Amino acid sequence: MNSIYDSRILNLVIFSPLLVAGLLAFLPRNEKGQIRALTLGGMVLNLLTCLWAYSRFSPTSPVEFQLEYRLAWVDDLGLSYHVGVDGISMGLVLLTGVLGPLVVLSSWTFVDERVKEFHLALLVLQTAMLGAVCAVDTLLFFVFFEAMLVPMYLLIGVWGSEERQMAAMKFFLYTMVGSVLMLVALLAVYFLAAPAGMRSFDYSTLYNGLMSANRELAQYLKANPAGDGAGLSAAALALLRYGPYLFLAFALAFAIKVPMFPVHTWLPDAHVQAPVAGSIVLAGVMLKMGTYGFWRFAIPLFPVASRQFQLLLAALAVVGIVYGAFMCLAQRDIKKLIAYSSVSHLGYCMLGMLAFTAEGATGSAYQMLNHGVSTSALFLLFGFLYERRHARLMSDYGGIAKVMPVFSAFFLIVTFSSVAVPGTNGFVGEFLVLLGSYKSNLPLWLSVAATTAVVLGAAYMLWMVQKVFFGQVTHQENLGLKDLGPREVVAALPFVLLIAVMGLKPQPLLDVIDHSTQRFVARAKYAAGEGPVDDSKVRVVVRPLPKDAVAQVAPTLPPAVPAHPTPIPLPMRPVRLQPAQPQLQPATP
Amino acid sequence: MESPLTPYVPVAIVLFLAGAMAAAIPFIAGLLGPRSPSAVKSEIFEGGNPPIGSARQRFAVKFYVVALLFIVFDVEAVFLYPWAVNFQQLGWFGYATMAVFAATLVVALVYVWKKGALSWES
Amino acid sequence: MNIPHLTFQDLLPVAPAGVLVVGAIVLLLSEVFLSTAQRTYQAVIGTLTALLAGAVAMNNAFEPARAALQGYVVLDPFSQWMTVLVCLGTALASLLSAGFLNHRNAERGEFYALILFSAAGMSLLAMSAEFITLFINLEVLSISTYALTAFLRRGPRPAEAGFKYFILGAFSASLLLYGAALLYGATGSTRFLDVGLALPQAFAQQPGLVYAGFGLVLAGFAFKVAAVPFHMWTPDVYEGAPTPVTALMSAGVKAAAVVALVRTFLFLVKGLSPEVPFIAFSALALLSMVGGNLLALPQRNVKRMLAYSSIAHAGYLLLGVAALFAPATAKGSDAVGLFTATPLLGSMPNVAASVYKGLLFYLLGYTVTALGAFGTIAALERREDETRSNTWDLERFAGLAQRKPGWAAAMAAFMLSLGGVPPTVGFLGKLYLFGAAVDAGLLGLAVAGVLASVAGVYVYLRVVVYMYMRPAPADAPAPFRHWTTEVALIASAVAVVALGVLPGPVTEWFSRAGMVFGS
Repeated sequence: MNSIYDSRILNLVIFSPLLVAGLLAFLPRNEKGQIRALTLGGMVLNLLTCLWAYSRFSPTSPVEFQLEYRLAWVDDLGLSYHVGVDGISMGLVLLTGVLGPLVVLSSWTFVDERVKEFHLALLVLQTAMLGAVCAVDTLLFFVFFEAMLVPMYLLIGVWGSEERQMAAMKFFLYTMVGSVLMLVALLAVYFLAAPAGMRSFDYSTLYNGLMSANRELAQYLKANPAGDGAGLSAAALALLRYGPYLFLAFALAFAIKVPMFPVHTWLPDAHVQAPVAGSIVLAGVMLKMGTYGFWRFAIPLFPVASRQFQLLLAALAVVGIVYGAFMCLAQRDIKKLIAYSSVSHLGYCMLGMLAFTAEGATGSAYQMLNHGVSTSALFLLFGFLYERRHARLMSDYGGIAKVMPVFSAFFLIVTFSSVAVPGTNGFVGEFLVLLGSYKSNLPLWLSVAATTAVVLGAAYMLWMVQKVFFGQVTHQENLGLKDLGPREVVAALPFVLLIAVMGLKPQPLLDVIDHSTQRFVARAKYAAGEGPVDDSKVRVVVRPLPKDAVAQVAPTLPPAVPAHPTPIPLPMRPVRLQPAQPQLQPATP
Repeated sequence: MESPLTPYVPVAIVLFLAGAMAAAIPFIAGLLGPRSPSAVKSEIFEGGNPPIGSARQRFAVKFYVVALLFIVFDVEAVFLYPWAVNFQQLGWFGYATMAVFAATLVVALVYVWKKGALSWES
Repeated sequence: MNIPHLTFQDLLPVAPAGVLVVGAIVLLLSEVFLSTAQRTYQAVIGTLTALLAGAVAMNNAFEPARAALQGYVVLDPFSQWMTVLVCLGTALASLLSAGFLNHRNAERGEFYALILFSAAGMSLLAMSAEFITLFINLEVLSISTYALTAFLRRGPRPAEAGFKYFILGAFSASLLLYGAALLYGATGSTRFLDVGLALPQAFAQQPGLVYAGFGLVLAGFAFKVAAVPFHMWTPDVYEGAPTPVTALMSAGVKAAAVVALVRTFLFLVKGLSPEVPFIAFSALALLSMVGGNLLALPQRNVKRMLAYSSIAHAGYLLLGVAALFAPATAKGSDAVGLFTATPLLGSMPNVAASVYKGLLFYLLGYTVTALGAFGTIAALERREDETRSNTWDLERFAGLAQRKPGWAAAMAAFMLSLGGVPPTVGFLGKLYLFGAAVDAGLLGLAVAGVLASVAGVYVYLRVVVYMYMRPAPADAPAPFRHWTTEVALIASAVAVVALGVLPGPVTEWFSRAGMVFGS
C-alpha cells in the first residue's frame, strides 16, 4: 500500500507554496491580476497536496508519524530534516491547507498596494506554518516556528491599519522573547536527553531519552514528595532540579503564542491592526502553534513538571476563558471583540489539554480546529464589512441584516458556531473539553467556572450580532452597502460547510486525531506514575536515517591527534641554549 | 673566589668610568674653558630647537624618514658583519638567508626611492 | 657549528604567509610603479593573494600534524584551518576596503599591503611554537594593524584610536615578552616543547616564577583577544579604525590570538596544577561573555556595539578554551558551579576534538558574520559625518528595509547570526562550542553563557527593529555603491545562511583538526 510517493508527499505539502512564491518573484510588479491568480492557484495546489496527504494517512495505523521523510542534515549535531504527521498535525495541515485559498480570496480587493510582496508573504507564511506542523526534528520545528514571525510581522506592519507599526512590534517582540526562551530550553533538553555522541534534535531522541528519567523521577516523588533527589540517576536528578524551569520556558514560549491569560496582551492589538488575511491566518493557524507546542513538546517532554504546574496553568486557562468573555462584553470595537473571544476559546483548548483525560484532549484537539474555522470565518466576514465601511465600532452599524441579507445569514451561522450551539462544530469541542475537565483531577470549581463562561460567550456574541445586524439602520452610509458578491460567497461558503460537517459528523475527524490523543494522554500519565502503561505505547518510533547517507545519527568523534605525532628533531640547532637555572658558568675570556 | 658575578667585573669598571666621566666633565669644562658669554650661548641646548615655545610645533617629516632609513641600513650592516665573518661555515644556507634579507631591503629601498623619500627637495 | 638542514617540508607551513608577503610586496611596488587613478585592481590583487594563500593553507590542513623548522613552528590542521579563516577574512576585508577607500579618495596600495602583512603575521602567529617566533609574529601583526588603524589619519578619531592601540598594544606585547622571559629563566628554553619538558621540574623548584610567567603571558594574550578585564582599548580602537580594518581586527586578530593562546597554554599546563589555568580561563570567559553583552546593551552607536559584541564573542571562544583545560575527573560534590566541572550524564568524554571543531566553526561563522556586519556599516558611513558623533547611530539604520531591502535583509542575517539564532551559521557555531563545553562538564559556565547571549539577542534585534520598524529619516543618505562592496556583502550573507543551513563538508574537515601539543 505504500507507494514511493508517500514519503515525499509532505515535502510537496510544505514546499509547494514556496515554489509558487519562487515563480511569483518573476512576475512583473504591476500585474496584480496575474499575481493574485497565480497565488490562488498555488494555494489550491497546496490544498490538493494536503488532501492527497490526508488520503494516504491511515487513522487506524499504529505508526505514530506517518508519511515520514528523513534526510541527514548536520550529522555530528544529530540534526536531520525529518517530517511526518500524526493525527493532530494532520488535522492542522488540513486546516492550514483549507485556509490558504480562502485567505487569498479574502484579500482579492482589500489589498491593492504592494500586491506582489503581500502574496509572497502569504506563500512564505504558508510554507512556514505547514513546516512547523509537520516537523519531527525539534530544531526544524523551531526554524519554521521562527520563520512564521517575519511574514506575519510584515503582514501586520505593512498592510495593517493606523496603529500597525506598534501592533507589529508588540507581536514581534512578545513572540521573539518566547522563542529565545524556548531555544534555550530546547538546547538544555538536547544536552540532557542523550550522552555526548548520541545527541540529536529529533523528537524521538528527546522524548525517548527523557522517558525513563521522567518515570524514575515520578516514582521517586511519589515515594517521597519532598525528596532532595538522593539516589536518583544523573538524568532524573537533572530533571528534578531543572525540569520545572525548562518546562516553564517552553510553557511561556507557547503560552505567549496561544495566548494564555497574562501574556495575551499582544493579541487584541495584532488582530485589530492586521489586515483581514493577517487576522485569518493569525487566528486560524498561528495561535494553534502555541497549543500544538504544549501538546507535542512541553507536556510530553516534562510530564512530571507539567503535573506540578497543572493546576496553575489550568487556573490561568479558566481565568483566560472568563476574562476573555468579560472583555468581550466590554468591547465596542468588533475586531477587538473577536480577538478577545479568541483568548476565551483558546482557554478551552488549554483547559481540555491540561485535564489529561481522553475526552479533554480530544476536545482540545477538536477545539483547535474549530477555532481555526469559526474565528477565521468571523474575521473573514467582518473583513468584507470593513472593506465596505472602514469602521470597526459596533455603533457604526445597525440593521445590516436589512441591507445585506446574504452576508448576515453567513455571519449568523458562524456566530452560532462560535457560541457552540449544538449542531455546530463548536459544540462538539467545548462539550468534550468540559466533559474532560469534569472527569479529571482538576478541582470542580474550575470546571464550573469554565462552564458558566459558555453562557457569557453566547451573551457577547449575540449582543454584538443584535447591535450590528438587527434593529433600525441608524447610519445613512450603511444603506448603500452592497451584499456579498460571488467571489465573497465562494470564500465564505467553505467555512459554513466546514462548520456544518464538523458539527454534524465529527467522527471522521475525531478518528484522525484519536491515536494522537491516546498517545498524548498516555505520555502525560506515563511518567506521572499513574497506572501501568506499556513502554512501547509511549515510545516514539521513527525511521532511522537512510542508510546510504550516514550509518548513525551521531557518529563518534575521531580521536584527537596524538600529542606528538612525529618526533621532533632535537639536536640540530645553530646555538645550543644552556639551561639557565642550575648553575651559571663564568664566561671564559 | 669564583663567584658567578666575576665575569661582570669589567662591565662594572666600564660603568664606573662612564659615570665618573659624565660627572667630571662639566666641572672640568667650567674650570678650564675660556668664557665669552652671549645670548645664544647662554641658551639651554636642546638639540637645536628653541627651548621655549609651543610643544606642538611640527618638524618636516623628511627628518624622520631619513632617521628611519638610517636605522634600517645600520641594522642591515650589523647583520651583514657577523655573517661575513662566518661566511665559510654558514655556506649556502647562510647565503640564501642573507640573500632573502638583502632582497627584502632592496625592495624596500626601491619603494622608498620611488616614493620620493630620498629627495630632500620636493 | 651545526648548519640547519631545511627541506621543502619545513617551508610548507609558512607557505601561506610567504604567499601573503609576496602579494604585499607586489602591492607596494604597484603603488609606486602603477599609480593610476583607478586603483580597484589593488583590492583585487589583495583579495586574490589572500584566496591563494587560503588555498595553500587548506592544502596544508590535510597534512599530518608535525613540527617544522626545528620546532619553531608547527604544521597542524588547527593552525592551517585558522590560516584559511584569516585569509578568508582578509579577502573579504580587502574587497570591502576598495569601496570604502575609494569613497574617501584614500585608495593606496600600502593599505592592502599592510592588510596582507598583518594577515601573514596572523598566520605565522597561529603556528608559532617558540616564544621569540611568537613574539615577532605578534609584532608583525600588531604593527601592521596599528598603522591600519590610523590610516585615515585626518580627523581626531583615527589618530586617537591609532595612538591608543599602539600604546596599549605595545604594553601588552611587553607583558607577554616579560612573561616569556620569566619562563625562559625558569626552564632554559624558548621552544614550547622544551619548555613543556622542563616545566614540571622548574615548577617544583620555583613555583612563583612559573606563576608569574603564566600570568604575564596570559595577560598579554588577553589584551590581544580583547577579553574582559583587558578590553578597555577595544571600543575606542574599533570605533576609530577604518571600518574594514575593524572587521579584520575583530575576526582575524582574534582567531590568530586564540590559536596562539591555546598552543602556548597547552604546554604550560604541564607544570601547573590543572585547576589554575582552568579557573583563569573560566573567569576570563565568564567576565567577557557577561561583560561584553551587558556593555553592549546601552550602546546606540552600532559600531561600538559591535565592538562590545566582539568582546562577548571572545568570551564564547574562551569558554571553549576553558573546556579544553577542564579537569578530567570531577571532584567530590556534584553541585554545579561556575568554576567547577560537573559531568552532565555521568561520563566525561575527551573533548579536545570537539573543542577544536567548535573553535574553528565558531570562528568561521564569526569571520563571515563580522565582516558582513562591519561591511554594511562601512557602506552606510558618510565621510562628511566622521567628525560628528552620529555616524554610526542606530538612526542610520532606520527604515533601511524600505530604502534598501537587500541590504537590510543581509544586515538582519548578520545580526541574527551574531545573536546565535537558527538557521544561521552563528547558531551552529554556538551549538558546537557550547556542546563541547557541556561535554567537558562546564555546566554553570555554559548556562551563564547562554543567558548572556540571550541578553545579546536583544542588542542585535534592536538593529533589526530599527531597520524594519522605524520610518526612514527624510535626509537618509543612500549607501554608496561599489561593486566590490556588494560582492563582499553578498558573499558573506550567502555564507552566513548557507553555512547555517548546510555546513556540508566543513564540519567533517574541522572534526579532524588536531593540534600539535594537543592534549
